[in-house]
Amino acid sequence: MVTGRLFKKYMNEIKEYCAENSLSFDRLCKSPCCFDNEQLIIQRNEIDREKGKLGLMDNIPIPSTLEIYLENGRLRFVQTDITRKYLGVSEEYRFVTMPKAAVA
Amino acid sequence: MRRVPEEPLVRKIEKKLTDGAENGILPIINSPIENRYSGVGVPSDIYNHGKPLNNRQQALLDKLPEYNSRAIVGKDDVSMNDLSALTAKEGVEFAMFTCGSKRLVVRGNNEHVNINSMRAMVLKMQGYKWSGHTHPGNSKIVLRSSDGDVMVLKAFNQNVSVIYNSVGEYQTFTKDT
Repeated sequence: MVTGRLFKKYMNEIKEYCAENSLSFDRLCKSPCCFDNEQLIIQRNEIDREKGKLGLMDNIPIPSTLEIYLENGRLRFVQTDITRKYLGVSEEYRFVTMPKAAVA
Repeated sequence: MRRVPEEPLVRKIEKKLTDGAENGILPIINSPIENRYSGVGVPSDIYNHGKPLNNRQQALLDKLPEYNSRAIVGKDDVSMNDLSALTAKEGVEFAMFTCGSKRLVVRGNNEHVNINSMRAMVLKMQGYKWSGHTHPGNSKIVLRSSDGDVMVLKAFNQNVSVIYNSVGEYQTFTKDT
């Protein structure tokens, strides 16, 4: 569940970025994340339950799907190699739900 | 009516400062050298400049001499910033849980703390909440949560917890929905 001051303040910009890049804002919102006032790291939204059983004995960070940094009052988005896999939307879904401008 | 002569302004200020110091207010103005910043007990200064722990932190560390040591202390006797300082000093993880007015601190090693989902559930049943834990290191990368961190958060049925690094920086992390 994504939350935090950065997310709340820049929610519209993040939503626009998702629309422009065919990413699911809904999936993003349901993902685990790490944040402070300068960065928001969206993580893979499928927890590995086998690794999770180890609890605090598991020291490998969850891979990030989207990294958002606040730099000089502007957001910088960094996609990773698993961004599409976990946050991407299908073409049909995109056509039905996205505004025409974003689809074009 | 006879007019009382006014005190010179400088004398007025001096008098105010002296009175304040006597009452415990503004003592720093009369002794600026003694009150200068020492860096003692500050995580980043401990990590970067080898400054010592403060007395409170040292007392807590004395109760946590080895891996898996546990200590229960008062809520006001430890903060996450203190755990960050201990991590800066020892290079190992610490986790903190809070129940009412007491806190449980568990010492880990340089990679983990011995708390899994089952132990987390037991702590929850005892009334504890997970306040946070530390990861050794001075970068923001170490502040990212693992699958295990999220599972422990779920076991506590909490929405958020924090991870501190060795220099006092922290990030909040959440679980999925």
